[in-house]
Amino acid sequence: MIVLNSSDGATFEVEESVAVQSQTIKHMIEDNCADTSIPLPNVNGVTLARVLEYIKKHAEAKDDEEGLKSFDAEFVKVDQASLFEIILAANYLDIKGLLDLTCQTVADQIKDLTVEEVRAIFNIMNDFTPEEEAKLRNDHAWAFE
Amino acid sequence: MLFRHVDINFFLLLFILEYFFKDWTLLIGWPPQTWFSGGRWCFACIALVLRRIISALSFRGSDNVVAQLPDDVVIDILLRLPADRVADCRRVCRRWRSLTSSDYFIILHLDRSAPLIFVQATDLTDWRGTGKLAFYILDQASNRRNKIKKLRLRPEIKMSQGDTEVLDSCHGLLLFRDAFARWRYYVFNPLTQELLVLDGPNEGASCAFFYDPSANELKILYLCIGFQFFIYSLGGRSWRKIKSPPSGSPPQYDTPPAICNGALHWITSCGRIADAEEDIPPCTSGITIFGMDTEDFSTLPHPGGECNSRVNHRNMRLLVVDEHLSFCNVYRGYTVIDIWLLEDYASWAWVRKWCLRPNLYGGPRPLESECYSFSRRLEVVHFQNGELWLDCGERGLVLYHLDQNTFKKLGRPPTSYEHRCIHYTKSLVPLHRAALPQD
Repeated sequence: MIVLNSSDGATFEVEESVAVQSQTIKHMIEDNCADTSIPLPNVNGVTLARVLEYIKKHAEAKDDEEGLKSFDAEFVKVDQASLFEIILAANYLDIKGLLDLTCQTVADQIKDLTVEEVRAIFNIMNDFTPEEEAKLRNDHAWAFE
Repeated sequence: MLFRHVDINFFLLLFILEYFFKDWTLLIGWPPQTWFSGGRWCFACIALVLRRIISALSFRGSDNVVAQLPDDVVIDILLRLPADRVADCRRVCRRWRSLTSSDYFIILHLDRSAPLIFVQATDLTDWRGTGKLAFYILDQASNRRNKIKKLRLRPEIKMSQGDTEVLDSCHGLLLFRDAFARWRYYVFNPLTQELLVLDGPNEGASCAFFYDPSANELKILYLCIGFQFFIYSLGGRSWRKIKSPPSGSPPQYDTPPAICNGALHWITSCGRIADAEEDIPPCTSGITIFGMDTEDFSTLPHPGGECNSRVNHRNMRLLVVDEHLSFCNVYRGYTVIDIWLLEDYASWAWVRKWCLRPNLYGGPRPLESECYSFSRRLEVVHFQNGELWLDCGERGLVLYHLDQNTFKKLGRPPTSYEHRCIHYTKSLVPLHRAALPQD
């Protein structure tokens, strides 16, 4: 069993065979850095719990494609901030399946949004001058009827 | 209230910086403001300070984690969007613009893009005395019944839609020919709306618009009057003469070639509309091959043995399916389609994979017969995932599923006679660069 410590001090136990879905943890184990417990300063307790839920489910029901698909669909039904936290955790822990799932979810969300709405979702400031923005809008005008 | 989150020293620091280092904003990527000069710097200062306060405040909420998505994650998300949405997202902020303009991103995105069909048709709804040629995109993902959308060009584009014909497409760039000045060609990316005008050495026809991986360049193979062949490299922007085919017969220059195994493949043509058997090249040299490295032409026989009539060659088409060369033969009467696959390129071993009777005019899900169809036509435009993309003339574009023997109508442009369909992929490849971005 592997012990994981989140940034806010919560500890989680998980089987090694499940934990190695994270390439980061896998390398730490291989490099013998995991004697007592693995500290994960970039992931908080709530997010780590969710990530572990994902990798546990994917380890258990590995061959059940339909079940995994519906699990994945329900898994990403969280608020925006939590979704981004999970993306950051999946990126840090290097869990390809989870990163693919969450990035695809975000891509599907922003696919039909306007530029202003995309900025709101990502909480990004518009740092273009009005002239630059007008020029960009003109440059990439693909107008459909 | 305003100063709750901001230290007074922060203000002082900003005033000092503004007084001593007028251009300090450039160091951190803020745009230079012309109204900083001329004695109005104090107002500029205050405005700048206020802007900084606002930005500092807006990132203090519980959602501020979203600002920290690292570059590779943003790239991963944006790679999943279609190219026109990525072009829109360039307007979100400077960081996103630079991330999506890098060569690395453009190449990766091109590899992932789904193919589309680009259609050029006479737009009779735009009737002003003469029917103008208009451009359309077939968007399979669209929810509308008619999935064909019309493309608008910016008025500054010096390529009038009415006077050009689309010939081919490569890496998201389209090649057009001027209908009147028949030595003038245009390379155009509809997404970035960048246009390159080039003049051939003489009047002629373009045989192929292709990407040569060993030279990392886009090239045009051009047939000039006098049976002379030239290569135009988009990287070097130069024309170069090459050897003509020894067989004396040109490739079918009004159809894009099938590109695989480092070579271009076409059905051999006789260079003009011919009805006499003797004028059409024999079946033993039915396929013309052009090696990208050697720049040599050669011929090989088409599969299926000798044709009863060589006029059938006009209904033959070469495509690439899963990186294998595929030969589609639509028999006269449009009732049978033969599809062969080249299993072993080195030994030129062909296997007939499908013999279809697509029963477009009857059967389980027939296409409704609409209006009068004086041009019954059936052309295979693309073949992917077990589905044939068929151009059925009046009936528009149709997706035919080989195993299930079902049709799905994709739509048609406002008028369908004299239209042509080109296989195309949206991309953000820039034209102003000398060569294609290298990964």
